[in-house]
Amino acid sequence: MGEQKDYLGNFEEIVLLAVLRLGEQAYGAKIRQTVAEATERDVSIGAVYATLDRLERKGYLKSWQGEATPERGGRAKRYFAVEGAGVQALNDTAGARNRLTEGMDFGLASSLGVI
Amino acid sequence: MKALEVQLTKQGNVLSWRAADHAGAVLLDDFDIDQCEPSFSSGRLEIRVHGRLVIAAHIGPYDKQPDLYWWAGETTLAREAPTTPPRLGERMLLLILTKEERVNIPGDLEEEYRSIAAKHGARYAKLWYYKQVVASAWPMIRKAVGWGLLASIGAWIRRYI
Repeated sequence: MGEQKDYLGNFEEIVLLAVLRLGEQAYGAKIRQTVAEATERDVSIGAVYATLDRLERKGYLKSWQGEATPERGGRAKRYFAVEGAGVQALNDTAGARNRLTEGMDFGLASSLGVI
Repeated sequence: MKALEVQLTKQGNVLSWRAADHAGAVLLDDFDIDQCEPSFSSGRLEIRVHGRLVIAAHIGPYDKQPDLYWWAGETTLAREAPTTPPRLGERMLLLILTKEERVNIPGDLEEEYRSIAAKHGARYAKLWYYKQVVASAWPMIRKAVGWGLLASIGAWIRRYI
């Protein structure tokens, strides 16, 4: 076996992908909206920030303070960007999923009458 | 080429704007609606009031420079500024945030609140704001306290049940 790999939780992976997709526009409100649209669920800003902080502690993200705007009541934005370790974790997680699902056709649900 | 239409509305000290699918509002010192002037360049809408830039929003994508049509009006219907988040909700939010989080998170919620209030009205936006505060409480407390301490408290409680 190679070096120990760290795999992302579902929500961690979604948040990290949202930051990656938003690029230079990745700050709290936009990340929350992107995650909510992608998951088709109402996502709380608290859940998003708790995950962002955890990912930053793991070294997958970096953040910095941006500009304050009148639309935000004069409060500054906190921008996020994905680090190399974050991209590696996304690749590792996607790789594990692909290895597990290789050759599977997901016909189980239809054969059980679920769909 | 499709023209870009911008609508400006003054309600008390609040200037609301709407352009394409975008909308927003800003609370200003007393201003004159006739002194509002929007401009559009490289996908960016800017609105100046008395010559001062008060709103800058990315509206694009437009391949070429569109014609800009705009009109401005004043209404006295609003009894309260729809762009200000509920004060009680903000206080509740500050209670669950650390000192460092008290700048960015309320700012993010206020930005979304203003956008929702402009699209769906203040009542809907207030409900959305309170929902966000309540739903954010558990993840923020869990983050602040940590799973270890919560698990210890749970184990301690179970000993006496």
